[in-house]
Amino acid sequence: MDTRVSGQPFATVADVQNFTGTPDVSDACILVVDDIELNRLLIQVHLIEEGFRQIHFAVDGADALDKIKRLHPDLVILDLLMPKVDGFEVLERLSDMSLPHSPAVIVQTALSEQDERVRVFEMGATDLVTKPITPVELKARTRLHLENRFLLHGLRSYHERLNRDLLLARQMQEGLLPTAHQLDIIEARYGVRLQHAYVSSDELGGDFWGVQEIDDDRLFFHITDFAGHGITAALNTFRLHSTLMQQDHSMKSPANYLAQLNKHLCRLLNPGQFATMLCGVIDIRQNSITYASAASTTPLLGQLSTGNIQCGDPSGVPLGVIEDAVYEDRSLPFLPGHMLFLYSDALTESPDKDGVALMDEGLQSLMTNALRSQDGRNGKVEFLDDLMAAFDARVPRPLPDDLTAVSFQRL
Amino acid sequence: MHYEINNGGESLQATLSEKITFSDHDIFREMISTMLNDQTAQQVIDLSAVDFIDSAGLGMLLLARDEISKTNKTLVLKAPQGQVKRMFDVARFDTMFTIEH
Repeated sequence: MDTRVSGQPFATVADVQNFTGTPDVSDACILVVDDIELNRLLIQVHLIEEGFRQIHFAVDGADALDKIKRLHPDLVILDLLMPKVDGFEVLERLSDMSLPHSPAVIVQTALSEQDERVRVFEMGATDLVTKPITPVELKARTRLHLENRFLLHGLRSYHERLNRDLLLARQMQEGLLPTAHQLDIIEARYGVRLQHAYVSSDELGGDFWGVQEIDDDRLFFHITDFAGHGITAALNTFRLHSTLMQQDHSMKSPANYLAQLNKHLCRLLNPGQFATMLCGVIDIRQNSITYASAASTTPLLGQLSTGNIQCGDPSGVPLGVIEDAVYEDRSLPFLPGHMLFLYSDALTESPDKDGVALMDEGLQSLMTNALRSQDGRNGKVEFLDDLMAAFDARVPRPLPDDLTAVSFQRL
Repeated sequence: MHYEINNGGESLQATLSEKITFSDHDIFREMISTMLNDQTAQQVIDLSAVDFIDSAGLGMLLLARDEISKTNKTLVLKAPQGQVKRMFDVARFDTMFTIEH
């Protein structure tokens, strides 16, 4: 419909320039509506002098409405007193038409008619020119409203395209996450049931998580969050994901794994960028979890029947800041009935309607409630759904950052 | 976030207040460039009036650390409280910054 928008799928630098500079409006489609031929011709002469090339005419209101529908003009110069359908009715019908891009309307009116002037503005006119028409005024107002319109359109289409790009990027990001099929295989092989939840914010986020089978007893997992959000953080998730794919996950020590990854990220990331990460190995033979953390959120280990919670230790230097950072292996028990819960900081830091965030303490009490409301014996519990429902009831959308939550239930 | 810079002769102190989050990136950069243009040897960021910092805020402090380390000045983070202190503990900021409690 809008010929000024090119068919490229991605927002370009030119798009940005299009709405920061003064747009070229000489190709704008202008419809001149007047029942007197001489007036139409006079206006046409002024508009041609000003450099406009697409000028169309309507001889009365009915003709105007018809041509608005067919031509989708950018601007209409409208006379009020006309036979059949008058200018007031054109304004009225125009507002009912709900066009995707309704034109700017400049109404021609006499200076003396104060009531009339007020009325046309109320009916949706963009501006007025006084009759008899002064060429300078007509040209200036026509140019002004077309430029405003083009700037607005440029901005709107840039936004729309950016939103499409972001949606696509988000889908690609979701493609990094484990599939339902993978999780089914893991549940069958290890007796560990994984559930995950994701709530998007207005922007792209920097968080993701993953699992990988090591051997019959051991399962590797991680949850990672790049500082900040937006495009930089999202791009970094792709970078790290490809690094992770190349790493050897069979290591004995998650702390060493983080140290290696840290060295790699120190070379990759710019100052001020960093990632937080918690990674570990679930060992079902040893009934334990060994993990290491680089400034991640507090890992929580809950007991299904009692609702008791044990907090892990998330402290550790963030990844990508100092090259010789050292990490620490820590452990938690992991027996049937245990639930390990990992999450991004949006869960504890997003403000509720009073501006208060859950923080660690609030999350733990939500988790206790969610654990207690499960029937721990039949295995199929909806812990994460319950927890997220409690969070949803409390915290309004949109969230300031993307939220990722993952639960690991030992069956 | 708000900030106020005072030169106490021996040290330059930026006193921050409210929250340091993702949306404060520009104002924080502006503060850092003011600090970098000052020749005082010791530069202090006073955090005692900051009640919340998110991971983007931690990133800004790391950026300040990086920028100031390229000069012959030293950076001190002063008096983190509450949630800010907890974030510093989790991210082991004591291993990267001089923190004055």
